[in-house]
Amino acid sequence: MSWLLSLPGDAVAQGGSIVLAALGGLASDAAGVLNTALEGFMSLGAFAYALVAPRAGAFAGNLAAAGAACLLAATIIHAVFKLRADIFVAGLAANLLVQGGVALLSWRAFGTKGVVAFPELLSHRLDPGPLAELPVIGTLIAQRPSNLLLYALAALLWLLLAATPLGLRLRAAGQREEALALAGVNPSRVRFMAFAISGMAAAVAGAALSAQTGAWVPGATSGRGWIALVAVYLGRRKPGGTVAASLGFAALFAASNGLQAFDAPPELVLALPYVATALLVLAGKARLPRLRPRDEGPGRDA
Amino acid sequence: MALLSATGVSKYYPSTATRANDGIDFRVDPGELVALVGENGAGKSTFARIVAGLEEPDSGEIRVKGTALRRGRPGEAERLGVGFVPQVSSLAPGLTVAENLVLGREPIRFGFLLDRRRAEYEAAMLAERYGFLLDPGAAVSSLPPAARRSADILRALARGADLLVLDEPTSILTEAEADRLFDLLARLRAAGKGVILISHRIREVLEVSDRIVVLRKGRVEASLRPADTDERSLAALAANAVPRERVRKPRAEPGEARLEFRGASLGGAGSATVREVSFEVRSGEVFGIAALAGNGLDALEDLAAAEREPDSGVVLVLGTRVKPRERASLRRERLAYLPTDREGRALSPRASLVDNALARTLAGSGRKALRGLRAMSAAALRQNAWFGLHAEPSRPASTLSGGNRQRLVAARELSGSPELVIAANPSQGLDASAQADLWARLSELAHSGSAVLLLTSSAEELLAVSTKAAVLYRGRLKPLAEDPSATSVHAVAAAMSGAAS
Amino acid sequence: MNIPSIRARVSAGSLLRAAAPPLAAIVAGPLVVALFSGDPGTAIASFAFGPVSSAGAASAFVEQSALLALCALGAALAFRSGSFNLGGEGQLYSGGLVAVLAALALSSASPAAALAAALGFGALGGAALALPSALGKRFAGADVLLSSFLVSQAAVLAIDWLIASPLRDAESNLIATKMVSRAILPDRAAFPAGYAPFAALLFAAALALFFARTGEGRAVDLYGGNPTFAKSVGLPVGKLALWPLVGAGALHGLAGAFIALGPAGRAVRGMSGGMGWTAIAVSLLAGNRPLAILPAALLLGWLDSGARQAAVIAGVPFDAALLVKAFVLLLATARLLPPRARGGRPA
Repeated sequence: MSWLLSLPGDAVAQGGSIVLAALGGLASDAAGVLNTALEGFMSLGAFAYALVAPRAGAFAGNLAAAGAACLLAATIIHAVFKLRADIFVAGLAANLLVQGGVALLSWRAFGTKGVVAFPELLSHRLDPGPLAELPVIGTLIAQRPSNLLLYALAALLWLLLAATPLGLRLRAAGQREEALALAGVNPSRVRFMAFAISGMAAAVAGAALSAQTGAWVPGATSGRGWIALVAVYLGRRKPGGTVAASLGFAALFAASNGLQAFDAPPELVLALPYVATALLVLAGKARLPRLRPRDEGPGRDA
Repeated sequence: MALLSATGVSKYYPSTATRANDGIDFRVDPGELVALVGENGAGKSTFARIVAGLEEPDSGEIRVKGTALRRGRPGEAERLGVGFVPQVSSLAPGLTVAENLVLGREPIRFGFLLDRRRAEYEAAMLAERYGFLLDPGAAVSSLPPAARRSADILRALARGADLLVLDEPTSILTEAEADRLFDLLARLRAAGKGVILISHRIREVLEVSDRIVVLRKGRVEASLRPADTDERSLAALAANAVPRERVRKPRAEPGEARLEFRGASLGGAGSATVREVSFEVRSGEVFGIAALAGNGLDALEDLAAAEREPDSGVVLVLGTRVKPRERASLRRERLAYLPTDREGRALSPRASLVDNALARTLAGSGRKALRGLRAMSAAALRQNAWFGLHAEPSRPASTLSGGNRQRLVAARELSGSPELVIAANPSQGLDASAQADLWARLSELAHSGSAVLLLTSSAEELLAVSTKAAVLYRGRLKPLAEDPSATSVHAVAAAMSGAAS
Repeated sequence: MNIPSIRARVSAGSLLRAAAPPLAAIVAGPLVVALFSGDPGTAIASFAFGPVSSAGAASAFVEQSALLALCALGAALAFRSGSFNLGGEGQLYSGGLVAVLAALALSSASPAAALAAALGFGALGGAALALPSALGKRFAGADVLLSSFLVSQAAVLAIDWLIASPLRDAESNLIATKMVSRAILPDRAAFPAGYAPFAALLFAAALALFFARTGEGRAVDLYGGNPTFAKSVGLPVGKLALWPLVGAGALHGLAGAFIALGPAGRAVRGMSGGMGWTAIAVSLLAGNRPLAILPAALLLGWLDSGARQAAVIAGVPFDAALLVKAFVLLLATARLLPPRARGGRPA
């Protein structure tokens, strides 16, 4: 049962990217913009990191991931606000755009569309020293710095949402646009910032996937962006709930990795998190935000 | 120099084909309280929103303290000192009162964190200065309606407004709360600030204002001093001058009860409340209930149309307590419903006119495969022509103007011989001739044995069609005299605004 | 009322709106291909004319487009009922596998009967994957957008395993199931593009008739456009929440069956190949109108075939097509004229 003992540590290792991406999803949801492109943003981040980090270092890699996400966010927001495209569809389009674009660029830059290993990229686990002997604690401490960075960023994002003027404005934009307009703040600009923040968070979360495997693996995100989106609604659109739901999913991923050690078929094991999430969604536990309820709509007098 | 001067302000809404503001000239001087009165749809709220910079006029100019408002700058009016309190609260419900107050100019500590304590301190000081009892740390959604309204007013004052624009501020306040508000307004005027007060309540307008501007159909009808007028003549000025053709009323021999309310209550935030309402509507009669916005008419509509169930008490629709899930079978033939909510309940905007006209038939026996398109279109066209709607039947309903949408809904709902008709503000947005057609059709239906419940915010409409009438004020029903034809519009209007009759 | 002027503007706007996405595809396709090729001339030529460069290429192009059209018809059915079905990939995959299993089980039956049964089971296999989302929507108000994607994602992984392990044909180099009897596969001499084009035509016509001519079709539109209204006016919303989505799954499953019973004659791992996503673009491009789906599927089918040709001949990765589809999807719902008036409703 050694895998059970290392489960908490593995869950923490798996969780960083989901937690950060989910809080990103929460940031844009709070501002009233649903981000269906989280998956694409993660993929983009993973690739940008793999492209830049081997040449210019991990910091530049993360910066590149965030920068690329900003560009993509600007494209989507332009389509939605200026061309009035549907936000769901624009998000899906962004996912396709990333999938195709990344494959082409990978072929151009690495000469292959497949896996490219960068052993020097691999961020090494912390050495727990004598504590390594302890059952649960040992694996819990032996985290990669790249993963710890994600938790630090997630904490910052939480702080931003809950305790800064920008966070306040984001929430106001999602709850009642007019409150911002009357305060002289442009709601569209606030929403764009929310969407860009959400994209950057997901991209940096994706970058960590490359750092953890020490390789560019196409499709490495394997639906984590969507899982993160579900975590937002499962967590009742609150930061604490979102983080808890994300860690729950991370535990599922960790458990499925653990099960693989027992010769369980990897595909079936990988399907577990989706089955669990699907059951929760089907039971109506995680719903997308509804439009304004009737009695909060504008008055009827002209 | 005038605090506010508006010249030739016009605004047209293509989607509903209404000229909400039609060349309005308006002025407020320092220390002056100007009341803006007029019927529903006269353009008061639109004008207020233009002054607050939330809407842009098609033409005309707004100057605040001599500076013209520029287009495309949502915060400009606020910066120039206009504080706006809209009809429906515009605070973010999930934030606290203090957070709402500081939005846009948040106090900061450590360079980037929101200084919540200072925000709450400032809010508390402000509340105390203006005599409001408010917990600055409370979430807006947890506040009772009156406190929420106070927070809205405080938000407008917090920005140091020189001109306060209040849209129906007293509609959900108690008398005592309203009196406190007017005391406050008096103090603000003494300090040289200007106030625009929009109100339906003629009496309070006469008491507190320096000048009264009457709007009718988007134009300034009159501008006068309270001393030069009285309740009756002011109400008459504000009323729409629709030629008063009273419709042929059905015989007063009501039959069986088709809709019964027995002590029904429905809670909810602010306006959506009715309290222990009892009445019945019998076949052969048109029972009219009139109320101003915010007095619970929406909740009454939801109960009567079986869209919601009462919290307590009983509502019998066609003899049964209908659960919202079960009402589908009723709607097909027996229950006709013209909803106030034209966006949600009345039409499916992307579907064609024919489909919308046939929606009830589609739900019933007519939903058979390959039923002749021609026959269906012909039926739909007959219904449409009947209400003077001449339009290509395959167009999506969203391309119709507001008035034509309502014609379409009326044609669908008022065809055949429904046992019970719920008509909520049925003639809003209709022109005079369609309105006359609609009223005649409602009377005709009652004459041939339907029971009709008319819910309206217009005293005119109430008296034109009803055989029995009542007024809903703050969620409670007050019956009027037995015979509505013996009642005057002004008496009803007074009762609707809470004046003692 | 101003009806004439409103109509004129709407039609000018809708013209631009309808034309922009395909134009984008036509312009962007060659551009992307050229950008990523060392030999832009060859790349563009193979991209543009590859699909009709040979009889084999042409029939493959027609077959692909027909499959795409079948999926898009399913997507349109779901869209028009107000459901955003993101589960097309899984429904397609499941339909293909179930069809092959049925065909293998019925190898002793007459070829015609076995084919019909296999196709039918394929449709059921797709419908079965859509059913949970439909039930969730009906009874728990669950979001189809999320649930259909998650169910499909789980199914894709499960089917990957089924094909790779228990159902794998050990004698084949492919990761694939056993091959079905050749007798039930289309005779390629008589039907170079297989049977799928006929099915696509049939279902496009049937759905067009359904939406234009039947009360049920109109009820679906009314419900999809405004569920609140549908409920208020007394339409059977419970039923309308269920069957169009299940029908969408069945159409995807049928397309999957045609893929598996196509040139390969077996269920190959990863055979859905992103067609479920492309189908969404096709349906949106066609404004969810069944008859318009046929040309739209041909356009995006051309794009796919062209990209495949460019990949073979000029060595440009096939993924160039994805980029172009993304542009199409991005523009598909855009309103390219500025709105006539802002804040159109009195507040």
